[in-house]
Amino acid sequence: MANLTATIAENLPYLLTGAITTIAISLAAIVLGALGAMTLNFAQIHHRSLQSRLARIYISVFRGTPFLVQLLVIFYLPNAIGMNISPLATAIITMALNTSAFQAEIYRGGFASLPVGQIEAARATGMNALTTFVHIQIPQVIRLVLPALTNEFILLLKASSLVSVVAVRELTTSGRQVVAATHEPVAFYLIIAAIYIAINTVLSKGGRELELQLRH
Amino acid sequence: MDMEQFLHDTLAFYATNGSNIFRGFLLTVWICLLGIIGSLIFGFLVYVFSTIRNRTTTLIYAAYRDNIRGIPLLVLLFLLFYAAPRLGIVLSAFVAGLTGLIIYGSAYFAEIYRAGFESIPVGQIEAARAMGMSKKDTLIRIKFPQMMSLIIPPSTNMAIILIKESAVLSIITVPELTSTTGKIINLTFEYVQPYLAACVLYWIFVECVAFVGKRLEHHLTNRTGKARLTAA
Repeated sequence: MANLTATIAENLPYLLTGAITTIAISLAAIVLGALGAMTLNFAQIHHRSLQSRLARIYISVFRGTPFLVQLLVIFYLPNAIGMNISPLATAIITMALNTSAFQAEIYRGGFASLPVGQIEAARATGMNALTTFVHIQIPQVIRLVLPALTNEFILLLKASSLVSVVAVRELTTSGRQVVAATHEPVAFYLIIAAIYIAINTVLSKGGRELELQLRH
Repeated sequence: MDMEQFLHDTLAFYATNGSNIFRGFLLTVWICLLGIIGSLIFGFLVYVFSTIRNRTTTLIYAAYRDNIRGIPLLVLLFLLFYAAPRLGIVLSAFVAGLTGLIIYGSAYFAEIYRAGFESIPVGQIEAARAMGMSKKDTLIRIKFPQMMSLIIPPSTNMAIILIKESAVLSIITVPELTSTTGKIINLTFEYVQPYLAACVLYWIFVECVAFVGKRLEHHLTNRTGKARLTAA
């Protein structure tokens, strides 16, 4: 038992470095994904246009196939045609592409739920389209989509465990490496699980706190 | 490489490897159906457990729900497949995968049931009781039909999430669609055709489940809709 405690103490910093990578790539992906989602939403403004159809297809493909398959495709295809992208870049790109499809749907729902009358009223009082967007639509939409966005962040963080298959040294990978070295699967997988739970609890609590802040 | 050559290659590829890919797909369908049905049932038991108003059960339920929903399915599978044998529980890859899917899905389904039951106004139940309906009748005739049409859309959603999550089972060596696709790629060094097949097959499966969900929802809302009309 004392032996196990020593092993855990010895490997914990390594796991925590992995946890930081997990948080960093998820954060990078969620921000890049938000930009992608905005682009997808702008593409869908004119309903029957080509770019709108392309955006719908993109969203449908990325929401309809498993993340793991997307990751493997994006990891192996460029290599097959002779392009070299680092595993870390592959991981962030795939996560961003994936979450942009989900976030696009979240924002679309948020914008759609604002009454048209508000935008008409803003325009009637002399605000231009940009001012209406920044001062009327954005503040309300942020508050509306925040719960869904927190949820998406948690799902993305959990999905990031899969980038261990393309050898990015995040939390799950470090866990597997430590287990391979120490032969203590029970202790270390439980610790990995506990770290994920801790991160996600902080995320969901933080999201709820932010929601309360924005309500006032 | 011209188009004709590519099509010819693709057809030749599917002629030799199609049956293997399809076998992987069948396993994906099989394990997902078992997983979905299992988590619907187990999720209901978890929901029933959560309705016991007692400090300990509430605490256990909250811990189960939050912890299971807080960890990635992959980590849950590692616990079941690599850690459990150390505690004397040896599961085959298939059983570990299925158990993982059911544990994971049930935590979400329990919440779906809870939301469904709680969204029925208390007034309706009081009214039914006041009209002289027994508790059992209220449950079967008032609560259940309305709850069913309420929980179908989120349940369909969850079933689709489980199907997509099932790709993760390939990592613990369950020979399902993603796993067979990977094996074929390793043997043939072809990337486009196997992944294309995998994506299309997942997509078809997901669309089928979505279709069944829509039909079921339509069917159930029609029934409750009619009931409402005759009552009025």
